[in-house]
Amino acid sequence: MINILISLLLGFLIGYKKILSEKMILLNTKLQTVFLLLLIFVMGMSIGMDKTIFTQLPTLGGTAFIFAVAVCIGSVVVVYVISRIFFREDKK
Amino acid sequence: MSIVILITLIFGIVTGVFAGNTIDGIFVEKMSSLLLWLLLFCVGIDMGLNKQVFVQIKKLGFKILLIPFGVAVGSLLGGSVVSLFFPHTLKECLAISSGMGWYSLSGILLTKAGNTTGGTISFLANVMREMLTFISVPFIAKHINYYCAIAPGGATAMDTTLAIISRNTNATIAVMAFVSGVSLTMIVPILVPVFL
Repeated sequence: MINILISLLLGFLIGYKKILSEKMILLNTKLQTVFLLLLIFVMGMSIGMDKTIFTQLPTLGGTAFIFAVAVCIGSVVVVYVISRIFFREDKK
Repeated sequence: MSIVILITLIFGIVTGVFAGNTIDGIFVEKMSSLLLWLLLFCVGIDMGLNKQVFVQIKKLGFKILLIPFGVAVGSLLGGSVVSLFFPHTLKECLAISSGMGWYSLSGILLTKAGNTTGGTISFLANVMREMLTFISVPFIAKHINYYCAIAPGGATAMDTTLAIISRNTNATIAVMAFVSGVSLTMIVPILVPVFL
């Protein structure tokens, strides 16, 4: 938890202080894609290595989908209510 | 990107299944932590670089924060509803819903807390949330309203799903979506552990 915040904050400070050149910023964007894909690959590996999880995947996938749909609908509904109350003056 | 992610995920799972016995599980755990920190460091740089956000926030005022607030509340409400029909505790459902589409973080937080099953559900649910965002945003923008088009993306509205939102709405909404995504991204690392 604390490591997550430190990583974010360190990066934020470097970005905010404009230490990086344009080239480095571009590299940062590319690195994000690489790290993200590597992370997903490694996470996939831990799923694959976990025999219990792997056998439950068909069930978990269904539950996950229900969750995904539920949070999407829930957030759209609440934002709709907020937009009707607080953003009425601006149309669409 | 989602296709690349799906392929990478499947590739990782297949590798884990067939090479799992030859790889140390602790090493894989450490690698995922390290990669997460490196990724967050890079994301942090992007956050620090985007100074125009502060200017836009000033223009729109505090009202802009009502959108991420609504997305967070709505996601938690959606998750609570799921707990009524599934054998998962309310806390677990709230932890999964708190991911806001940030699958890499939310999944790992639950897994690290000892809930491997919850971590997998969270990871998959949040990956699916991103995919559903790509599919649903054009429809929502057209048939409901532009503000609602920001909602399904959650935390991803600041990066991966921002393009689809701006394409279907306007520049102001795109800025709001970015701010919403940044706000939710900052909230996720705090919100998920609350329910663990």
